[in-house]
Amino acid sequence: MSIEVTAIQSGLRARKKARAEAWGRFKTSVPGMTGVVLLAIFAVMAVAYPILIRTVWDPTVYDPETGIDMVEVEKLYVREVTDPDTEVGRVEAFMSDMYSQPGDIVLVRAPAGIGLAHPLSTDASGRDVLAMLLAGASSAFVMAMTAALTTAIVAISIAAVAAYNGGWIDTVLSNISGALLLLPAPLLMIILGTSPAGEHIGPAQFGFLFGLLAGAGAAALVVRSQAVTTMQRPFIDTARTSGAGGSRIVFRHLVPHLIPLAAIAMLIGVTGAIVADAFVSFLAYGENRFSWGTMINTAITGRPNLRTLIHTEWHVMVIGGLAITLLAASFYLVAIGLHTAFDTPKFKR
Amino acid sequence: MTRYLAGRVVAGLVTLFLFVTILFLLARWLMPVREGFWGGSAWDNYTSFLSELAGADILRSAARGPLPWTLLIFVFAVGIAFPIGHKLGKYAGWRRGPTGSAGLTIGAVLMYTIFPPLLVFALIMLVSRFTNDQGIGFLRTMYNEGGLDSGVAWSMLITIAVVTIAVGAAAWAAARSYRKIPVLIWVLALVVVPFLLWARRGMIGEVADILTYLALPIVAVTILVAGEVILVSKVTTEEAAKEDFVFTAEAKGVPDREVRDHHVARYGLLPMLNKLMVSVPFILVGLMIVELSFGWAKLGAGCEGANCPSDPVGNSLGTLGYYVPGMSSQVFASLERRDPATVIQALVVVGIVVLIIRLVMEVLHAALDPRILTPGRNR
Repeated sequence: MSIEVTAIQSGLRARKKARAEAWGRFKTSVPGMTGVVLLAIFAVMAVAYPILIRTVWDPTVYDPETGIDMVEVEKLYVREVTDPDTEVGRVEAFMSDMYSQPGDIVLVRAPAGIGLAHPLSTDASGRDVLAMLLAGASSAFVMAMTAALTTAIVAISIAAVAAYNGGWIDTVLSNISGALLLLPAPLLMIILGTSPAGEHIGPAQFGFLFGLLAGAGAAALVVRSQAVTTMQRPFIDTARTSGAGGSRIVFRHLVPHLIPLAAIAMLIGVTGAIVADAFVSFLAYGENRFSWGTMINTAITGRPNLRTLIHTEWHVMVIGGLAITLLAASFYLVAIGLHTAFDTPKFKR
Repeated sequence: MTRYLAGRVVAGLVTLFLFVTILFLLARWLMPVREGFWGGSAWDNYTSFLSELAGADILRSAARGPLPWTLLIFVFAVGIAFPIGHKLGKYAGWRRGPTGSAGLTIGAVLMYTIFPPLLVFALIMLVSRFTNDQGIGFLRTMYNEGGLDSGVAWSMLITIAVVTIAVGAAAWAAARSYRKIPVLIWVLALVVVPFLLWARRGMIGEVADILTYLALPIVAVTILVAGEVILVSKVTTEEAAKEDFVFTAEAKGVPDREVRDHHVARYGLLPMLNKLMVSVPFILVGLMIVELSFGWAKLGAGCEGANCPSDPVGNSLGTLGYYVPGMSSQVFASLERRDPATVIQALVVVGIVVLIIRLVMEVLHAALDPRILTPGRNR
């Protein structure tokens, strides 16, 4: 066997070993593993809804927007219609269901009890909360994944170009990133989502636009500083003197050193995307799709006061809000785990 | 110091110019709505856009209206969250090992990523439970009595700034004369002196009113910021714990606690400041989202149209009748009116505020670490 082949093999072995060690360190990080488990749960949720609605769940009951499941209750009193000619009177007459008497069993739209049919109960309009939770998961997950990948790719490209070329290109790119930092991507995406242009933006486009802004802003700045230090390391000079071209230096020697940091930056950036996306739909913009924000919005819209909200639909609000919080948190937790994994300690404490 | 400061100001102006240009491009792309606003060539639009921005006196109108409230919430929230978060992060970062600080870290992440409307809802629910109130009536009394006086807010901000500078200078002078004065005394001075000054000027009642009115938003933003500060402080503590002098101190037999507090935590302050500088705009976004969640018209609302109380810029207040008169109300009122010019003006104000906060932090950094004043290989 020639010397070169052994060198390549030992190089590959070293890389494999380094990967195994990084994974070993990741496993010791409780926050990181928590994040991975949470992400896996959300991924299962995102896949579960389309399967369930096509097989087990009846769409007339379990559709997150139009599905209704009425609750059987005993009628306690008959409401008197104040004035049948007015708008209010007509609504009252419709609601009071004049054909039933006190003591009859009637069907109403109200939160159902927790049971096998509705593990998380229903909201006040009779829609299944678990179905809403699962249906919201897929759009949030698609959005978050698009945002994460776009952020990382944009940040790495800008950082690599800036660090490899240096000079005025670096200056211009860093200044643009610095200016974008004044306008954080979450705020801009909220403004965009609530503007007329935002009505036609789907989850993937939302994530892509967010990734462009976040990747060119804060993430690019962080990754660029790493890229500049990497370019000064001896192995870059070695590669250059042994005749490696620009693209080989960038892709084989520079970018691999940027990926860990870019991954951390992208995972932290995605938390902003999730909150911004949910907030836009919470404000009842972008109504063409169902999401967790919509869920919270419908839960608290039109309640006459806080007391009624607390007594009827607080669980919808809390479940939707917790789902958004935990999805955002899971990305952040994985970032912490990665930080532990790629952090080589000088000495063991 | 002057040269460094001048350099930072010039760099800030360049950033601001780029920022305004990017805003122009985005606005031209996204909001082709207002009639006649985007007529003519792109270059004409750009120059008229710049002159409109320069002539609109945006800072002055923002200062009379929404700006001081946002700043007050920011100052109080950061002022409370920073010391607490720094301490907790220190504990989280020091105990290394598989499980030691995991709970605190996960808690901090949840504090940082909690969906602001959920937090706001939980706070309102708690308050209404303890006050046995349908809404948060005690908070809105001031609004009903005829609005908020931004002059008082500004004088509060100026007092806080002056006292902070004075206390910082005194602490610096004391440190140079090698007199040991406990940190607690400086912290107490920072907290107590502003209130004494307000009491002397006879505005303590108004200050108390404003602080009650803004209490809930301040608590909400404090929770968000504290999560961030804990995480940043944890990372910097971990980094600092790897330095050689920590190893030396431990080898000399310095007690563990002393190493943590005097060697590691202090050394970690500077990189922490650096990292927080990047997150200032994100803190401001979180603040604006919290403001909006409180003022969101439909929260607890049963009213529609003319029956609803509304704030001065025309946002409906819902039956809660509570809103935070900060920057977000201006941004979203103009969004509802489909008025890109005002949205951009508000965003420019936010950008200028971020730049000023960043400049203050850079000066602080230079004061704490004079090395960065001499440009050279150390930077």
